[in-house]
Amino acid sequence: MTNDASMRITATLLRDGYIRRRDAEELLDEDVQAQVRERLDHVGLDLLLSVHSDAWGIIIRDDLVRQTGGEWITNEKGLRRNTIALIVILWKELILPSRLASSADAVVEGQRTLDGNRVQEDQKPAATSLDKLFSDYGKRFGPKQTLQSLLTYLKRHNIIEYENQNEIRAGPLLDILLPGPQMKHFVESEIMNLLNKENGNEGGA
Amino acid sequence: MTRLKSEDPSDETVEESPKEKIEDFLDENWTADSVPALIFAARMSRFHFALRNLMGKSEPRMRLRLAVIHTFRAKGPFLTGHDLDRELGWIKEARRATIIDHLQKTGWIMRVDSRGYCLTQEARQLMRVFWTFLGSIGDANDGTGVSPGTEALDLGWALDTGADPSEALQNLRLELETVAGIIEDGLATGSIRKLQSIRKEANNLVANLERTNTFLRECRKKATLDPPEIQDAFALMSRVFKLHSELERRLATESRNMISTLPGMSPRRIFEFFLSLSKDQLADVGERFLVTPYVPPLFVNPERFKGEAARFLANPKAERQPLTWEDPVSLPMTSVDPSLPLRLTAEVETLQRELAELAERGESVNAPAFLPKNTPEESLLRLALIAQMNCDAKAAEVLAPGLEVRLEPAPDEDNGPPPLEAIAHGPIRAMTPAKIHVRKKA
Repeated sequence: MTNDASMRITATLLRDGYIRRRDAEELLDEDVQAQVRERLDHVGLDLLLSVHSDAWGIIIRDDLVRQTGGEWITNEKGLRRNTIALIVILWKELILPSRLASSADAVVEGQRTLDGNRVQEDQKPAATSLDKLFSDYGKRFGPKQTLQSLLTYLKRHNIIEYENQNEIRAGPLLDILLPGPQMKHFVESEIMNLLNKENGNEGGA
Repeated sequence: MTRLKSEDPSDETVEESPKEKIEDFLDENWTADSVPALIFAARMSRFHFALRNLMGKSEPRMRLRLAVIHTFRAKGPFLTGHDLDRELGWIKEARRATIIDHLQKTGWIMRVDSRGYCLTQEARQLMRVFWTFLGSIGDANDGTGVSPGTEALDLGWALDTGADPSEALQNLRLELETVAGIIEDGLATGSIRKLQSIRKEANNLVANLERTNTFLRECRKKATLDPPEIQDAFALMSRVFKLHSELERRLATESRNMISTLPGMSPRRIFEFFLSLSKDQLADVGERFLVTPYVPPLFVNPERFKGEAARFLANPKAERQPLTWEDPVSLPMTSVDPSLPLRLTAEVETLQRELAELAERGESVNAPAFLPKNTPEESLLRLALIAQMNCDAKAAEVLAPGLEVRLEPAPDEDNGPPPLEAIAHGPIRAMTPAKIHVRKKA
């Protein structure tokens, strides 16, 4: 039984690059998880999960990234820099709000468990739109059509999801691609640095 | 009617050396008051090539003159000598006097009843055309502290100078409608940045509405305008007030909904922090943190596949269409794909036709004769497109396929613009001492 579940989950992961939590509840079982990791390890992959994400993903093992053709970012089949910049913006728009909300909740409720379904139940996922993105950040990406094409590209790679570009939501991979805790820490520390500088300047003046 | 003249050769004092000019420019007493004027001047100075004959060939000097004109638009319509001392105190007195004198001689400002100065109608028209153009390319209203509300000042100008206020009232109504439309669009978009930028405009407008109200009451008292027109303007004012309140309410709600985690780290801070990052900086952040996922190869276009599957499930009896294999779209090509349909306005089509005719005849034409068209806005559009084609091969290929369009500025000696018959096109004629060369590509 454990074997069947791990095989099904691994196959789905290899076919789609991710698997939804609801389709892989067995992964919360330590034995199944260990088996899936083992299967993936044979082909140089590792299981990846974000506590807040509703999907599991797979990554190429750190020690094999260079040996398998370099970082996918610089790989010609991977992402160009403007796409990466857009991913960061989308992370800020679609993921960061839930991170901040969950931080605030955590003060009251304590730390969340690995099963983050509750987040999904009581919170409407953040959404954005092409118009909003273009209005706020459009100048960095050139014409609206370019931004539109990049969004289509990211949708194809399951980084975002939308029926139409008026309501863009995080796809299964967005929260996994950028490790939330590190990103959140980075944003907080950068802003605190700026605040300290401002305070220092005011104090100096 | 006053004409805007090209720069007088006997302009100002003895010609300074470039070094002295720069030192003079840096030596002004810049203060916080001068900042909006300087931002305005910097933005307008992108038209230096076009303005040089009107405003001077030296950019620092042109910027100071533009800053003075900005002060008239923002603080006017009518400024006494005392007002000028107060508003333009950051420019050295001697230089200020020279600039005022020059602007008066060249038809930008005029004296009114020996009491003070105001912008001439032509100057205000030219500024409006520029402003419209800047607005059309999405580059207006960022911290300049002008634009909306200035039509109200035009109405005041008309009353001050005894001119017919009907046109000013029409412009005022147009402006109120435009701003109402902008606020409605912003509210529909929901972009915080857009709402914040609109807020600046809206606040500016609302601050000026009090004056508009005064002017309208005065018009009603003097019976200089039809009561229904005034009533309409009052109704529009009320609509703008309501939209402004809605804008404030929406922004307040946004702030309440935002949650902060650390002291001082408000969502606004986060938003501003991300806005402050350039594309490269954002990409650097991404490259630093992005993990290396396994991406399954895209054998079939998944969207197409899902679409076909959904259709089949919805209607299994229908004949199944074979799945087609599609290569992923090449992103860089998408943005410049020449096969994409291009929607051209009638004005652009007219320009294309005229350029084709010029190429057929193999003639070169004077820009001041060729560019002006039905309205100042269309004339400026033509100028902008020709300038774009001149420096951007891709734009030229799209706008004038098979043609080579070159804009060649006329030498300085040739700076006498033709007489200005239709004042609406005066600025366009005067500002473009250039030749347009069009020929068919080999």
